[in-house]
Amino acid sequence: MSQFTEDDIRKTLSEDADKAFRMIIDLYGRKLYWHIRRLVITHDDADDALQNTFLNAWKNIGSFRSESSLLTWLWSIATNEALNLIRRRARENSVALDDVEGIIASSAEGSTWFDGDAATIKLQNAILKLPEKQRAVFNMKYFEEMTYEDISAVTGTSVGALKASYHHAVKKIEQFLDRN
Amino acid sequence: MKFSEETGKENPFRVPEDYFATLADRTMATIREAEAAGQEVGQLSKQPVAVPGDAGSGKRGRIVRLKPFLALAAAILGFAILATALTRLINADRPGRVSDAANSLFADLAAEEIDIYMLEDELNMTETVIPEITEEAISSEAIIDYLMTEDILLDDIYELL
Repeated sequence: MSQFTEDDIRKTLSEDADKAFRMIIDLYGRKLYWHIRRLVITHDDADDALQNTFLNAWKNIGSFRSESSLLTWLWSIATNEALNLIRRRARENSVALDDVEGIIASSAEGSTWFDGDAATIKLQNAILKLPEKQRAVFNMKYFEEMTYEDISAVTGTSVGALKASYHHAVKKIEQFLDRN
Repeated sequence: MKFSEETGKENPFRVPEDYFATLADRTMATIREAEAAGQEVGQLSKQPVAVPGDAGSGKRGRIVRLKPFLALAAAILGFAILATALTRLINADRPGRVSDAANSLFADLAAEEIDIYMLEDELNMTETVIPEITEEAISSEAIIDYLMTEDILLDDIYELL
């Protein structure tokens, strides 16, 4: 478990970039992984997207503005990386990947690491029916319990639009669960 | 029924053992490999990733759209070079005078006009006909979905009202 804070990382960044980056991975790796994982579903895809997130962060760490939150910055990169991967997978497959079974079926054997019961699969399928960006907003609000202000900082979308989007996402999910 | 009552927030996703414990080592190793290979770090993903403050992703779209025109320009340049070379060859022993054969060749080339409008149509660049908006009801959900996916800020719209 990490014992250091974001301030510790900022201080270390100017002295030893490698050490500071390891601290970043230790402090935020788990959070970023689960955020990505809920979007892309399979472990292999989540690992790919997470690695690319850290690679892009390493490449651009020099442009990171110290007055911003490091986690918000990383979260934004991770969200973009996950959404890009979803779009790439959609182009590679001839059928829409909007249900868990379809995603698992299209993935390499042993790469999914998914172990949900029927009710959980049904909820995940409902979430997968949402447009990608709305899905990301829903996950950040429902599963990660982020504030609308934090989600706004990550997505660049206004708080009002986020509230409307989340409200509609919940309605759509409830309708899906009632129908199925 | 509220979905949270039905399903809760159980995590159905699993990870391999020691995945997080080895994450930092594996990630730093990947970065080192990329640097040693001389790759621009951050290119494992074949798609451009939007990093906050990065406005370069638009260049890729413009270059893709310009490719057909660049190919066309290259073809025209190739014809011009070939025609010039043939002309010089034909007139090698008659400097200052254009032969009938060269004149004929130039005339043929001039006649091959590029149908730019056909090209535009093939590239789907003709003016798009916007369907007339009818008074058929559009659900508020559809509007919200469109606004969300197109990143249109609702606050900007409210200010215009």
